[in-house]
Amino acid sequence: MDINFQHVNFKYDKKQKINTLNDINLTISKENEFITILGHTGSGKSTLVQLMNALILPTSGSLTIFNQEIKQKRNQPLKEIRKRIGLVFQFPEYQLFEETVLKDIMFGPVNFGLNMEQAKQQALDTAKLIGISDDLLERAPFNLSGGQKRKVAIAGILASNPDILIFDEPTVGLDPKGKKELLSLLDKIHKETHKTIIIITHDMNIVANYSNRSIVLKEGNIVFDGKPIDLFNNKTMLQSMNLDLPYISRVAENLKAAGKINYKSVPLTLDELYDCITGDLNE
Amino acid sequence: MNKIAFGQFVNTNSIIHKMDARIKIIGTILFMITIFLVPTNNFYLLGALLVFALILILLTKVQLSKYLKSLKSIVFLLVFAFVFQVIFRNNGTVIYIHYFKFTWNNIVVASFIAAIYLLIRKYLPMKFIFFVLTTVLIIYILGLPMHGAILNQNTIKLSIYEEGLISGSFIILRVLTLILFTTILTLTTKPTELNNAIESLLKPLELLHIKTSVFAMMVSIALRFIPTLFLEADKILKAQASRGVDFNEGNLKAKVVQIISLLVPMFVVSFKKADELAIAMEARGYIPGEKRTKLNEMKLQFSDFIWLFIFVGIFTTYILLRIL
Ligand SMILES: Nc1ncnc2c1ncn2[C@@H]1O[C@H](COP(=O)(O)OP(=O)(O)O)[C@@H](O)[C@H]1O
Ligand SMILES: [Mg+2]
Repeated sequence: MDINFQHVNFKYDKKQKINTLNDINLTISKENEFITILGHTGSGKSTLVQLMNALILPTSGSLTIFNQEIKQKRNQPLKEIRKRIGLVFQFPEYQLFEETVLKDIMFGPVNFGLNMEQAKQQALDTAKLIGISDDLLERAPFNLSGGQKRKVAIAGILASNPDILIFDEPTVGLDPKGKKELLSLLDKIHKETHKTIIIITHDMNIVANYSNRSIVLKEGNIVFDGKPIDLFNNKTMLQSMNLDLPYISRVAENLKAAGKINYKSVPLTLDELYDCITGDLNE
Repeated sequence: MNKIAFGQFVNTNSIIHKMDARIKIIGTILFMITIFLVPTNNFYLLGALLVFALILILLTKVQLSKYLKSLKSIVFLLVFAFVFQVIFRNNGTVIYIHYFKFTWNNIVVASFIAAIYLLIRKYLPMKFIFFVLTTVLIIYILGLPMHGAILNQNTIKLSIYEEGLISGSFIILRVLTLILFTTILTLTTKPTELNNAIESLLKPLELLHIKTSVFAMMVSIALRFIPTLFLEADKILKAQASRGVDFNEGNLKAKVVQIISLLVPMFVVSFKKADELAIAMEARGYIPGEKRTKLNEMKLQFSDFIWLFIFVGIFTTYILLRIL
């Protein structure tokens, strides 16, 4: 497996009494996974993804990323890992600093060893993929709108062509259109390249519509790791974690309560609900 | 990110904590002056002040380790001052004299010990104590009369004078007392309280049309935002690291880019935060320099007057002793 956590504990400070992350066991493949990470604020989601990028090092336990054991010491080669695992932080627009949008997108690829020509080509391709128009490329990043800045920052990560893409609450603060665009883009990347994508989110509709695996954190512990459908069928888990159902599932529940339809496993997407209704009619 | 929380305030709710912050500041300033009023090498007067500091420390009910921690940062300075005094004093009564006569053997043994120390240094607890011990050991070994080829025909003479030891100790004691008094202040007073107290003490300046309340507000905002900015810096550092910035990388050009990639976003974030804060403050009716009421109005208690009486009493006693 490409990312492998075994009994990993993490503390930000040695003096902390309880672990920020506690006994994490997790394996993630670099292909065909679309993972959503859920949990309350402060449950350790951001900390978990920073471990995956070796930005912070495990306090104890064993963490292996692309066959490299991450040790608890300062000088170890981590660049390769950072290149192969692209992490987009929450509010990534704050990391922009170059004079032009193009230069900022090129920054990652250059750091990871591409020459100027290659980096520029990568940046142009990525900008196109993500929908940054050509006239923006020579502008200063600070004059863009919030949504545009976010796009540029995300392009800056995608341009390094990582094997696994991680997003920390990427849709927070975007308008509905921007949100939809971003998610369709990620879905497209996932479908075309089969790269694993990991998203931290509070939005159950993202969980239901896009992901094929969900991880739920509670106070630093993984309390669920499995298919979204199993999560949404697990009423006690949903209740104890204060998680909502996706919109479609709520509609379905109401229909079921009114005796209009019946199902064993709650529909998560529009298609599933449609099947459920038409299936009922056909019977 | 509690470790960078500003100030060292520890709340034990002792009588020292309850003392009015203005009285504490005045007291601290008086003691600072008093310490320097003590005639050189008068251990009794200085000792009395130290005892008074220790009494206050006991009254604060803060663990002693907190005080030791604040002393730790200046131990090096103290040792340095002491050694300086002892070595370079050269008049008065000699109490110890040593002729260094280096042989190769001395050098070899000493470097051996130095090498071992450097190797195991990382794993040692209480690094500073070991550093001092090793240094003393090395100097001692260098001084041992050993057999072997003599390196240098000239001997080096180290003589220690009684006066050197005395004045060295006095300096240490003086700085120690000084630090203890200021530590009492910072350990028992919240930064905001301290700020309010300074504002209140500077009130008379308003007569000169200097807006002290605005400065006080600036200081308290700065204090409030230091931890926030540290957190932001940490985030940006990580964000750039995930874009392949290697902050351990050496060459100058790389370093410049690293610093820019950190500084520019820091400026952007700080300005944004400042902007938001200014708007939020205005929305809540803050007008610079205008009269504001306070949530915790500082009021002098009877006990505060007693404290002030004690502090001023000690101060005047020392002045009188100095004059008479
Ligand atoms: N840089 C840091 N230093 C110290 N503690 C931190 C730091 N970042 C987060 N924490 C703490 O770790 C816990 C988990 O935080 P985080 O991983 O950001 O949670 P989430 O992303 O799920 O909201 C929280 O209690 C938070 O206060
Ligand atoms: Mg988070």
